[in-house]
Amino acid sequence: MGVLQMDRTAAQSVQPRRGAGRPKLRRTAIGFAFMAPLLVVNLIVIAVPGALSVWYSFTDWTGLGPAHFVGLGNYRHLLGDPEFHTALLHNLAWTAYFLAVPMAMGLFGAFLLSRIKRFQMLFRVAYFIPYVVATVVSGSIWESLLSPDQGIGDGLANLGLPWLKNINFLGDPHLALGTVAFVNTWQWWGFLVVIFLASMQAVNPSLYEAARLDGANTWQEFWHITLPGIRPTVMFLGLMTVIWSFLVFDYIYILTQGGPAGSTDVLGTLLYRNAFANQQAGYAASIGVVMALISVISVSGFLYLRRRGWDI
Amino acid sequence: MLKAWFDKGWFGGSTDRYFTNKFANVYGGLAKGEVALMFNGSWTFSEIAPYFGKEAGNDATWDWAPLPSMNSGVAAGVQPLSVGGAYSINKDCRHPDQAAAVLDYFAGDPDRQLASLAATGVAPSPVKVAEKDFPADVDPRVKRQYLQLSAGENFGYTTWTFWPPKSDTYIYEQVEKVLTGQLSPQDYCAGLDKLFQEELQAGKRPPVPAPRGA
Repeated sequence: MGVLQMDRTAAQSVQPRRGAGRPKLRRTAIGFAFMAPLLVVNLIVIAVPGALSVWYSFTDWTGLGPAHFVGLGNYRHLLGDPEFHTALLHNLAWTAYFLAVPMAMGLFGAFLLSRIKRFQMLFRVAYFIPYVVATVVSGSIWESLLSPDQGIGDGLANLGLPWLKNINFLGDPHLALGTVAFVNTWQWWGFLVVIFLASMQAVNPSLYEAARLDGANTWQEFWHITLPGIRPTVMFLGLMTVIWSFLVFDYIYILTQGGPAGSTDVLGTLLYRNAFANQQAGYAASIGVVMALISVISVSGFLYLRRRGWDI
Repeated sequence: MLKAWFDKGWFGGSTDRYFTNKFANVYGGLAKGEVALMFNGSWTFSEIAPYFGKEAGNDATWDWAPLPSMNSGVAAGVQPLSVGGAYSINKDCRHPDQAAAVLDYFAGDPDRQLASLAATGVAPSPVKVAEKDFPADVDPRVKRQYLQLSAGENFGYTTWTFWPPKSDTYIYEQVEKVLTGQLSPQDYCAGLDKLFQEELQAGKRPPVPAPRGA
């Protein structure tokens, strides 16, 4: 029986049945048919505008009318533009802050939550709610809360913290960028908690048990078991944080529009201003291309490390 | 001079508050008597009413006056004109006459324009109007403004009337650096002049009509 089966299999492999390739072809066609709507949407909203942006970045397009090729003129202008340098520095500071503070808060919050059984869902929902509130809504609420006249600073000053009196968090150039980052953190860190917590729940519980038997304390459990166990999630969110930090626009535009005196200007607000106020759409496109390049470099670095065998 | 005024807190209470004040707060401050005056355009007419009177819980009233002159050679009572928008017909329009008819409908009938002004506070076009043209329900303070504008000859201009785009943005963005001490007024003016000359050379300055009598 076994021999007979082997013979049949061998015969089938040597002489394929007529039309045997069709099911595979059909499956492939069905797969593409399901993907087609998404591919078309991506082509229309990403590929074509992306290609056009690259083209316009080499032109003097104002946003209306014809565009004239200017070669690398816009990129040369970028190199010498102090506003671009300032915005890029702010993006770098923003990235460093979001890689450090919200990530640490998310890891710490998730680790604490992972160790409680009662009310865990309540805390998860409470942390996650800010993330589902529309940015323009939470931005406007925070704008009122940070008002020097009737905001929380004024309220806390009346409750015995006089040094908070008359602090204009969004109007002081030295405080504005940090304040917007704080508001963005308030919305963002709950999302990190939920993602890290889900990842932590996949770590093998017997590792913690063994560690406790060996006398490990809570910090050692976190450092030697939790963190290595969720490293791919940490690295992925770190990568996304870098990409999103260079695309940041919404909270800054809502709260400060890049001011006061350019103290919260980032590449996104600089691009917007050049495209829609200065009528320099070609120059704005070159800023957009630089932003895209930063994302490409980040993703390429991530993929390179994975290919080199890093467990991320 | 402007920087000195800001340093004294005459605009918005202080420089940092000037950056964060909202129109609603300023209108409310006017009604409470906490704000002495505000510089604003005629669009204020369509926004300011809810902050005054019984419905706002006060008995305050508002009124307006033209700007003083900053130059000894110019009489007091300057009325700055701005261009908030423009109606135009695309040169490739397939039905230019019909498009022109629509524009005529909007701009060609003063009665219709002034009825819109009475209902919404939106500036009428054209602005040359007479007392008899106004409907009865238009706010007398608003009517006085347009009548003075029609009779006046002492006009000024806002930054967004005839400045080209980059110069316009420079004026209101870089002045924040002057106010916060990051840029000297001299460097600010020199930067504006350089930028304006570039835009002037590039033909980006909006057309400026000749002054009356020129």
